[in-house]
Amino acid sequence: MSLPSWLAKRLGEAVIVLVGLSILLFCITRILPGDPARIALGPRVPESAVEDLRKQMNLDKPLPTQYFLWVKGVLRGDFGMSLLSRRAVVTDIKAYFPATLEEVILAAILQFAGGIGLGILAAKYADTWLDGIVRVVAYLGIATPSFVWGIVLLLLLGYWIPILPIQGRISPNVTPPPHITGMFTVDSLLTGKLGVLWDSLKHLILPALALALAPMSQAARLLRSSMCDDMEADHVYAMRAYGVPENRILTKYLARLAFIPAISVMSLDAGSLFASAFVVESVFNFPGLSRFGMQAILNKDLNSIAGILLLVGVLFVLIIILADLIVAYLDPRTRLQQRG
Amino acid sequence: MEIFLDSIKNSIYKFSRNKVSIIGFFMVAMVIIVAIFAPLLAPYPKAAGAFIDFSNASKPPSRAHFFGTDVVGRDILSRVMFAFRGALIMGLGVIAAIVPFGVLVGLFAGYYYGTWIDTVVMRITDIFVTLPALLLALAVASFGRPSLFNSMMAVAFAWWPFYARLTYSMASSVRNETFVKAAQTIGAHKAHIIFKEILPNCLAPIFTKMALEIGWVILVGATLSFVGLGEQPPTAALGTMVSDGAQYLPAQWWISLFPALAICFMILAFNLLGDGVKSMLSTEVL
Amino acid sequence: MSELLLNIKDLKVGYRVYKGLLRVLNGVNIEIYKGERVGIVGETGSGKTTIARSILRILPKAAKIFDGKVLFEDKDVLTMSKPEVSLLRRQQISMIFQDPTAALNPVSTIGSIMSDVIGYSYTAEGSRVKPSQIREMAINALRLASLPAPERILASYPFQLSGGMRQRVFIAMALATPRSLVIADEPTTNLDVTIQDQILRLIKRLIDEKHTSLILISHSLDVVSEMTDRVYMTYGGTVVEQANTRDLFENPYHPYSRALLSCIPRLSGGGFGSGIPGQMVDYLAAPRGCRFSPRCPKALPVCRTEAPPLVETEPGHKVACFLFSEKQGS
Repeated sequence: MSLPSWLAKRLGEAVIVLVGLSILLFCITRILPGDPARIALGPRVPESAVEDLRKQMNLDKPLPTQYFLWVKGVLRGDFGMSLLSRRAVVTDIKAYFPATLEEVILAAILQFAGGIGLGILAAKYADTWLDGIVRVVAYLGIATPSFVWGIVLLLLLGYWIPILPIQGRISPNVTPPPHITGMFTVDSLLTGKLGVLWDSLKHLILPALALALAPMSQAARLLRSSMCDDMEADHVYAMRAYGVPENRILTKYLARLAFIPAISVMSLDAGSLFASAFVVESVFNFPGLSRFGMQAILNKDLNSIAGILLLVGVLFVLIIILADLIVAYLDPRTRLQQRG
Repeated sequence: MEIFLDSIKNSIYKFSRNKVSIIGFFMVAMVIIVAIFAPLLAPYPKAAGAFIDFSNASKPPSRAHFFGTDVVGRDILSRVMFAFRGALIMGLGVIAAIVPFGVLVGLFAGYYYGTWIDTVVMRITDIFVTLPALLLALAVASFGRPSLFNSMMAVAFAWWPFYARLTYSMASSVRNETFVKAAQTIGAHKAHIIFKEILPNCLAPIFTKMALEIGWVILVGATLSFVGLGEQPPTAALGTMVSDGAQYLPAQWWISLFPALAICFMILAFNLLGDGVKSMLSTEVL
Repeated sequence: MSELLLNIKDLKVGYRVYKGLLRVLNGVNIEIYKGERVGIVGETGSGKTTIARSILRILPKAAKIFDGKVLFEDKDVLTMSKPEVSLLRRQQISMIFQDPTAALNPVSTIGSIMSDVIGYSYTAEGSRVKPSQIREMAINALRLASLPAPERILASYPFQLSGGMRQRVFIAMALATPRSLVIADEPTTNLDVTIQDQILRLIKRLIDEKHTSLILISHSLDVVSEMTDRVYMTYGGTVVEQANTRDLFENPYHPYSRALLSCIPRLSGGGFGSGIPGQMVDYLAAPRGCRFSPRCPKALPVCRTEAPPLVETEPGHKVACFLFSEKQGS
């Protein structure tokens, strides 16, 4: 199977899954809560206001009609009104998403770079003190929820050794860069404002680190163990028998093989960064989509919840496809045998 | 009998080969004992509930209060000990609830491999795994009145598909094994084939996954309670204690930090134990 | 006889497992002369592969060398420095593995594996070889191993080739650069019966052309009798008998050799042999004396308490058995 047709097939499957996801989200936000309008407005609002909201959200129509009206809106980019901010959900998403995106991207970079580096290091020095340290750190890393990392980092690098800012996206005395992508780091780079770039990066480091440490530890452990398993494989002994240096065996032959099973787990973890961000952003008072989403969840802002979850779902599916592409690139067995 | 004893010895050896899993075993034992006997072991059992002692408010760690006291003067160590209860119920309860359900679903889908039952069930689980489980649990937990039970339901709702998928992948390959075909040929009942032939051969990876995931469920539970969707005050919950204490950072760091470390301790304990169980159930030849 | 190339002296190697220590090799002595083809025969589990891997010092992590020397041109491989071992592996000794499927990295192309093998063989000399030259050498080597379309094979992944082709690739790799010794560890065991013969003939042809010594490890008496000049018969991690191939097959002394040779069905001989009763040595609790003694029909009391020394019964024919050492003594 050629790459374009494989990709087309994968995207087709993704669309089906996303249709399913929209049904699931519809169920969660419209059926599961009982009376969504009453839940959204709270018990003290008069019945007439609730009735108005029901009309506005099409809750007076039969369920299938409600679903199709909702999906029709979504396809036009209309997720309805936020019940909290009274603005269109799309407007809020556009305003808050770039901050979360740059945070998650930085976290993913840290996760992959750190995880791969530590994993290879531990495998190379397997069963030495260095490996021991990496393993202990990885154990602690996995066992620590992202919000705990947030608080520990906040105390450590924000208060006790105050080298990094503790909240927000940018210092109050710094003017944000002009809006191009909405990501401060990218925009400041594009407009050549390096001071702003530095300031916004400093604000990103703690939240991104808090997000990345657990999945990074997970990745390091996974890579180490799969590399150590493969280290006793015949093909490794064969390369050794021909005098190929250990470092080359490790980086060329073992790492590639170990990446194949690790990459999908690492990508799923990277996708889950969006979920962890929901909690971490509130620790750092980081004005991103996730903090907005958390507010929506806590205030039962059903339209916003549905919109944000759908967005995260789409991103998650895209990440999974990307991971499959990387695996296909790394593993000729899946890439070439499908042709047959 | 001797073979049986030998296999137990072998399992214990495999478990203990990973030295840290023994540490994990004792850590878990400690958490469970502390949780069960919290009223006896806690230095200030009253601190578990709505107790106020402003004369002792916000005291840093001292000999009287190892973990310090919170803003209303409750001993944090005592509250942590009581909070282990909720976290344990979360971790064990959710796993106990979703594993039988998920496994059952996976078994049937695997047995009816290639039929519409298989397709429908597996497409449904496909949908669930397109969202991070934590996010789904957060969203579901927000409806309804926040409580420990409510948050457990939310986590269970988001988590069962993973067991269904694992069991499905095992079952759909085991069903092609010769011994299953043989049982079918001699006309064994469907239930016999599913539960006596297929299920036992799927158990090792399921138990391994269970053991490895208790810590993870506790983590998600703590996250839910951190945002206020778990056990409600005045009952002690680790996540809530962390988020309440976070307002008093950095001056009263102990209010938030010790419950946070308690969460890590607990998750670490179950993860280490899980690793031991994993090597115990592995079919690796020694 | 010509110059001594490899001299394994009293090699003792074991493996740590959870039940204890497997004492596999129990004082193995083997000599290989330049240009010689030597067979090492024994059942599965008799320590043949351990011998092969000791020579290149590529034993698994769990292995432990207790004692002995592996002298290659009078230098002990076991105590060599890492650079010396690398040099040995790159230029002197190469090995053909038992299972070419497992011994070729599944996600690398044949070309990238071979270019590493050939490239490092030359970088050791200090002279840098251009990638185009390496490629040329790889193609030549594949052609010599009778592989069609070598360019296409270089671009292939191992799973795209048949088992026989993979083993040919391995043979090409082992002989792509000049070597003084090639170790072939059961090179045909994992192949279809129909191509085993071709592969063996290929090895023989290339070894002869390049005047390389060969150690052929096999459990098959047939293969060894066709391929080698001299044979070491091993049982339970010990050499029980060594002789010229013809001598050993026509006139075996050791009870194990005799029993094994009688297992070969002969057209003229009255059907199948009787087999050897009993089980392979348990290395956790190996017999103190001769390791074959529990299964030996002619065992003497002394066999159970003392290990028999290897004694020469005829010129070039040695056997480790008290039946013959006593004859000599008396």
